Amino acid sequence: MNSGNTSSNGRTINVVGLAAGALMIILPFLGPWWMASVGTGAFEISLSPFDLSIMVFGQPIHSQLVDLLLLAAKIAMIISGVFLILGSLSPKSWWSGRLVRFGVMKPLWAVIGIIIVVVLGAFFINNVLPGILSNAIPDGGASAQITVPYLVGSASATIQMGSQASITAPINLSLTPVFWVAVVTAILGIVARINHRRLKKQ
Amino acid sequence: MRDGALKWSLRLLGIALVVVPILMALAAHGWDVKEAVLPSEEEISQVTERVSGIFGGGFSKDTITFGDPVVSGSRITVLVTFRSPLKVPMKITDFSVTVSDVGAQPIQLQMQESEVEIPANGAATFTLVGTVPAMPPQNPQMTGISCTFEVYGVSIHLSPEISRG
Repeated sequence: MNSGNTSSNGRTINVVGLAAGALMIILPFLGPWWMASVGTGAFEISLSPFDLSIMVFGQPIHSQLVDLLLLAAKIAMIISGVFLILGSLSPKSWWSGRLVRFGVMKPLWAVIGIIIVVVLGAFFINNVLPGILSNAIPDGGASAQITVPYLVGSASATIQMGSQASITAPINLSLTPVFWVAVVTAILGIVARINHRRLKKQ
Repeated sequence: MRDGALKWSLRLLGIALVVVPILMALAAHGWDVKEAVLPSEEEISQVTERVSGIFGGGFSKDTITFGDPVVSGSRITVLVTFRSPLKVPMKITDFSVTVSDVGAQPIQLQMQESEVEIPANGAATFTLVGTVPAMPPQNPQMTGISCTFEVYGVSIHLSPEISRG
């Protein structure tokens, strides 16, 4: 296999590492990986490991701690991408292993992290939120039936308030094409790490 | 030696990227964890205002005005004017009224249109149609009303109790 072992002017380069590094640098700027909407603009969430946008009836809400942590994740991914490129340009140097290992697995953990966050969120909405809503509405005549898909799909949530009123909201969850770019980046990162070890031994 | 320095530098960088944002957020909010994590009170009040603004003054007896019923054969039609109290556009997808009298078969009047769009704080007119039974009620009274409308794609169904008298 010569996929990641290109010699150019007598110099060995980890080509897969370069590709993974470049994708890691641009990944934070591609937009959300997962989106959820209730109705048409009643409630919208756009999520990636680098950004979180929550809109309630068109009004954005933020948490400064979350925003700063996501900014740090963005910076970490860009630094990791730069380090991976530097390490891939000179895979035989003494420092390359450390630079490559610093962030080569970050896209994989980001993909796994997003899936865990979304699944836990859906679990909370399906199992905890109906009880909270039922108790929040006085007179005890309220019941909420919410069945949200665990990652992607469509469903509807119904809140029944006695026999006189009910609210039904369509819910749509979807992964964006950027998520699949992240999956490709994660796979390239794994291959780049394996390739780096192989180049180092040569 | 130099490998160890690089190893620790990278570890410290990784730790700093987690710790520094947390410290920055806490410092910006006077080390109050709740304020750093939750949205600001201003944002929450803006959302509350937006939600209460949507529903305006709420529904009242002036919201719906029924015209005089027109009977043609066994068919009855009633023109309804709906004045929206909402500050956002809405769409009525279903509207029905039940008219009955003691000892008589109730008449069900159903919205003829499949849906009626009403602009923010605007008004729209639609038609209710039904069939008059062979023995029409002598003293008809509205005993039931049911309305389903959509706001922001969310469907709200109301069927309030009608007080007699």
